[in-house]
Amino acid sequence: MTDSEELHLLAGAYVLDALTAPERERFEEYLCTSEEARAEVASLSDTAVAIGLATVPVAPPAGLRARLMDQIAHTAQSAPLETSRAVPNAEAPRGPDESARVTPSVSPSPAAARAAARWYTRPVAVLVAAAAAVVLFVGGTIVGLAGARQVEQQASDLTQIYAAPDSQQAKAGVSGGGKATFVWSAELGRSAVVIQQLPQLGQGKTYELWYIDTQSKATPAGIFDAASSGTTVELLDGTMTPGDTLGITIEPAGGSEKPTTAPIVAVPSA
Amino acid sequence: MLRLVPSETDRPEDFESTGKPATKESLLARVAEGDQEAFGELYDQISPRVFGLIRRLLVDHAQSEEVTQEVFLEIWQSATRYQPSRGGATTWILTMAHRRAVDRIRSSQSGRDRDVKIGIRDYVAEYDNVAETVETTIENERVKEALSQLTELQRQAVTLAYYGGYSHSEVAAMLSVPIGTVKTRLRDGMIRLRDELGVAS
Repeated sequence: MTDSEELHLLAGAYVLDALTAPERERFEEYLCTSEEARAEVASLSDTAVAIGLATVPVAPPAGLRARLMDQIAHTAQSAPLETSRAVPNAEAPRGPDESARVTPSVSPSPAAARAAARWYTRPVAVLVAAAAAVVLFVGGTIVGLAGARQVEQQASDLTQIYAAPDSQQAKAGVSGGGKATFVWSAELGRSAVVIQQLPQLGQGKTYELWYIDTQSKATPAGIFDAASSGTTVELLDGTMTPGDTLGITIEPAGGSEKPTTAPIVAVPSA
Repeated sequence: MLRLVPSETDRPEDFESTGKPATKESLLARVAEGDQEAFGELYDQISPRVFGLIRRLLVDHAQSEEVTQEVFLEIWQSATRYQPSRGGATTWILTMAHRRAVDRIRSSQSGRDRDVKIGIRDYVAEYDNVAETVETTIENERVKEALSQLTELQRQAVTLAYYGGYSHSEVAAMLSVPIGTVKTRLRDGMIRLRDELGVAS
């Protein structure tokens, strides 16, 4: 029996959700290659739903509707798929988290690795000059000036980015520790990053955010320290241009005008 | 003498989506545009189906409520990706509900008694009781009828997988047959059901 004949036999188990996750993936890959298999899966999915419709309907608990209505009012919808996948519609979409992601979010994604590589190849002379320049600049810390109001503003800005119709996300691991999720909206020209478990830096150092354009020109987008709570949320200053790479470097306290170190994380926005 | 007899072949189509013209589909299209009211309407129409199916699989009431909430949130988020050309809204939603319920079972195996013997007794018995214990709807009559056309092994395998949320290897262990046999029976059983139910694709 050939491989595809063997895979074809899985159609029943597939529509009944009886495959293991790796098998499901392999089968979905196979579906992309076989018109016949797609047709079979479509009809068998309808059949599975017919079995489902034979189940007695039960009204859900009364409070659920109100909770959901409240929840959706604050939940962004996914951007439509640009290129429709070959897998039939009957196949359920991915989970809530995954469906919201547009950029593949393996950490670090190949694109993120490419973006980081682009930074590494910046001319050494530029970096040295930048390093020299920042020595002269001693910044103060910007801790807790506006307090609660700032936090509130940040939360509202962040929600706006997530809620934008063209909102996109990308996740990547942070070298040195932590997991970063960048979220942006090209329409709003804004972006933010949410990082879990970002290590605290020693004295005299700060994290700095950057927009780097397609010509590898870096524009500073704010400095910040790791939150003590475990989740660091930062909005990038300035305006994002579609195609910009978003990144973070570790800089001397006060920040730099140009990156002086290799990025600890970088993701392309397109 | 020649008499005209009404055709018996027009069986009522009862896949809710195809029977009534595009109600859920059009609601879903409005949901995709961020229409919260349409979402509420869609919820009112289909949530008993979703909750009923999920509770059938998970049994536990609180977990069923959680998964139902997840599914509706997912409907809200991914309505933008629903393509009517590829199937009815009911199919899309119940397929999602089934998969999420199965995901929950797999992620919390310990949360439920997965004992093989108890499992098979319960699920097969439950199938046998369907007609006596529930309000008989057309689809459930038809499904019961169609299931009865399957071989014993096909029927048990399909029932355990769909209503029990068991994987093919679990089904194989429960029925003491090789995994390859279960895979084959799940497919030919579903094909037989499809043909019995007159599901066109």
